[in-house]
Amino acid sequence: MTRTGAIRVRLVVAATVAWGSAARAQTGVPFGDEPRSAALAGSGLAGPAGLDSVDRNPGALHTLERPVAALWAHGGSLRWWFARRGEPRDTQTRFVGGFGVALVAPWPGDGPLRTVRLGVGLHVPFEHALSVDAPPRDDVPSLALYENRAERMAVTVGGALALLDGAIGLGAAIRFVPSLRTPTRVRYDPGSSERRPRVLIDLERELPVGLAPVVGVAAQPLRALHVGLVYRGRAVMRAEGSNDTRAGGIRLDDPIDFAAFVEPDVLAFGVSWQPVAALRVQADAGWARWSRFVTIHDRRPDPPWRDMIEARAGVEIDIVRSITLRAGLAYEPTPVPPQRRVSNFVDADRLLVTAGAGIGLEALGLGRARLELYGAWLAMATARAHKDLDALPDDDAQTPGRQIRNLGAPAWSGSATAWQAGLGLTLPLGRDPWPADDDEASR
Amino acid sequence: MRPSASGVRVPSAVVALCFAGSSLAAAQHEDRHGLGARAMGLAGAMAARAGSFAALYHGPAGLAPVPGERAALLEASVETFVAHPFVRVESLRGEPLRTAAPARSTFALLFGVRADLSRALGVRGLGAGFSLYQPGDALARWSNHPDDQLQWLHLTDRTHRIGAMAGLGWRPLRWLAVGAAARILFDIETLTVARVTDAEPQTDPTTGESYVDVTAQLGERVRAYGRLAPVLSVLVEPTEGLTLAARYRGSSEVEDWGWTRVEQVPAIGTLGFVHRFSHHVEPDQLTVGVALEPAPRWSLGAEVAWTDWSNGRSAEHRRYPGHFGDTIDPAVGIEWEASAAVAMRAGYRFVRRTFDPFGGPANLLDSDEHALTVGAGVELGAPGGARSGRWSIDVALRVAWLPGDTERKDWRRFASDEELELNPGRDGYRWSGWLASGALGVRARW
Repeated sequence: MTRTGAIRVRLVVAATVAWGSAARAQTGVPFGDEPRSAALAGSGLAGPAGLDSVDRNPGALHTLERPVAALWAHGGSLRWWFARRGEPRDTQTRFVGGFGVALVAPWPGDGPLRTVRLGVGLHVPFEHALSVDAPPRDDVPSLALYENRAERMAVTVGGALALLDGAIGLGAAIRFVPSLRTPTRVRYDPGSSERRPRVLIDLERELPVGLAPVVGVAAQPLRALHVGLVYRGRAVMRAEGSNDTRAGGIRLDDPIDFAAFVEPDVLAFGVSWQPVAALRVQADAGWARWSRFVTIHDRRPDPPWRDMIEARAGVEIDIVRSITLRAGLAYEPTPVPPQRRVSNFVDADRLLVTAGAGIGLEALGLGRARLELYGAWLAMATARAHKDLDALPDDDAQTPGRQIRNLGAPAWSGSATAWQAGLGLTLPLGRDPWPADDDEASR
Repeated sequence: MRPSASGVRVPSAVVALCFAGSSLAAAQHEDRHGLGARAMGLAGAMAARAGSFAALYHGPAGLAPVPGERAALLEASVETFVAHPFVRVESLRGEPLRTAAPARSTFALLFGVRADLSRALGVRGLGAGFSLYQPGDALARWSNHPDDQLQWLHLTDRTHRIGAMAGLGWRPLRWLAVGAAARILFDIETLTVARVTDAEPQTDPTTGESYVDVTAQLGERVRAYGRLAPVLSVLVEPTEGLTLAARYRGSSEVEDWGWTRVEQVPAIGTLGFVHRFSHHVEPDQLTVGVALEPAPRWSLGAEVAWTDWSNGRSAEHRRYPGHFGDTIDPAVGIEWEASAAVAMRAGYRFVRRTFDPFGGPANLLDSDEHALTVGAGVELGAPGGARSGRWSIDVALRVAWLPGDTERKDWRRFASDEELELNPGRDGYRWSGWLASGALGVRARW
């Protein structure tokens, strides 16, 4: 390939990938939660332990007495719209579904580690194990919190240690946060024909693993009261690499450097109160450090996002021995400031309403498993933006005057709603006590 | 997209170019090493052996509770896996040659679970399993290179990819068990758009060549799709101590496809290319196996697997008629319960080479493989007898000899003299080596 006339293309903006944290798409998002937790609007970090405690608050695992596994699946619809002033609404609807599996268990045996609890959770979306759109422009309207991040595979592994005869649990977990390295080398094949040109590609893909920590404590100061405190570290995935392309007279030789912000640092406190055996009321409040948000192009948004405090609560009632009803409510103020400059993030305060039920199958003669069901509905207030035209760049310096092509100028409005339903099986496993039943005939 | 003397002559429409990929049948680690330390110690001859999470891959009927086993058993294993290739590729004059991608060492973690669901779901004889294989340094890593670059067919990428398996086994009768599992892998789609935003003519100060320095914005859409490959099996126990097995494993393949498009290139318009790689292939496979107890405390497992490699494809998604051929691979493993708490294992597996360049353009290195394995299992902390302990440790070592071969190019298999001249393997070469691997696992039971 001659270098004469070669065109050098500098890729200013490159690709990105998102992958996930634990068994939830994101704090407060009704996608991906384990059914019992989802029915309680994601509340319950104080415990007692649930199947998603390994991610929500691993300290709560200390209340676990026997191995439990859960399988669940969920599906729902995410619908959002965007309308620039004077133009019709652009509405998009998509299905979001997935399935998950979790296993939590006490340390086997009666040795000094008997107060240790272990857990692992895996969540995989139905359609895409990973789905990310990185538009070439910064001003493409996007649903800030739900668009790419609802679809990604998530793995969390954690454990807890029970202290003071089980009154306090200390837990820690790690969430696997992958990034992408993809150096690519493209060359024109001089041996190919002009009729059927061919290039030779050397492409490498690597998904290195980053770790996002979760540290939590759960305690039971009173018989009817559980409290919990958890810190979840932020998760950011990166896409890096190079693009060295020489095909004919074309040369692309530039680095790829992107970031996908999955979840901010979160510090949350929760309380669970059980005034009577058949009733549990719980509430959580969490501070999310959204001010460290970076866009998919690895830049701080202008203006930067705000930290926010979200609140969620749930109630659980055993109406009969084998049937439990649940309901939940969460309020999530938006971290996105008014979009008066280049970006067009669609987000506003959100309200999440959930309901669900748990049914013990033993009463039906179907074994010791429990069937969990839930439904969730999320509504967002209408977001409105009025552009500060003086703050927008001139998109065509060659043309006299200021040429503004921002996709949100001069003003826009947008919003979203989502619903989801799910079901799951909770499976008590292993034999208890051990080894007292050792001599029982197995079958 | 052929350059002209006056500069660049490029179609103004998108130029779709198929391109090349790499180490094709970069099979998952379990394809030859076996799933877990016990399976490795038995050379993977596990089709007719039940009672561990390894049955997910080797025969999911074995996930069903085994007669005599604890009811409501739950067992979980955490294992480490290491492998290191000692391979050599050299010219016919004895000079070492470099491959496009090095045959690298591997360190990985394997997590496996098997549970008796009979009580939980009220279905007698129902068991389930799940496994997750995680390379130690990355969730996944693979490289794609043109088929004519010198590269190992199976050694480079096969153990560098996250993979999960889930399955069910059911024993409706004491002498009959059936099972189904799925191997879960992931495809990747990348669609890339670069939009030119600025262009400025430049002259290379060193060469004096002129070029256009172009600035562009790039956007990308990435999708990862789950891909399931089925595993079905049946176990029949006609008499005490004899188990017969049949297994079908569906083709598993991981694809990497997409396109790249550069728009608004001055004087050119739009150009681009599409790509489609296949960087992991295990074709359909049928296996029959047997397990028997020839003497007290001795058990023997053997199997023969037919693999449909004649439908194999290279990473460039090409078929090479006559180059890929079906294989029939035998394996045998023997286990001796040296004591109530200790089991010793050994095995042998022969893997027929799947691809032969036959002097053609491809330079994909493959070899027959003779694998010898040894292993041991130790039960710990057994409250009610050694074989019912809460903890156990399994260890295995595997050494495989790759006798290799010699390649000499046949000019009649090339489209032109130029193609032969440009082929990296035109002068011929030979290759051989060893592959050492090991596994250590800890299993807990509840």
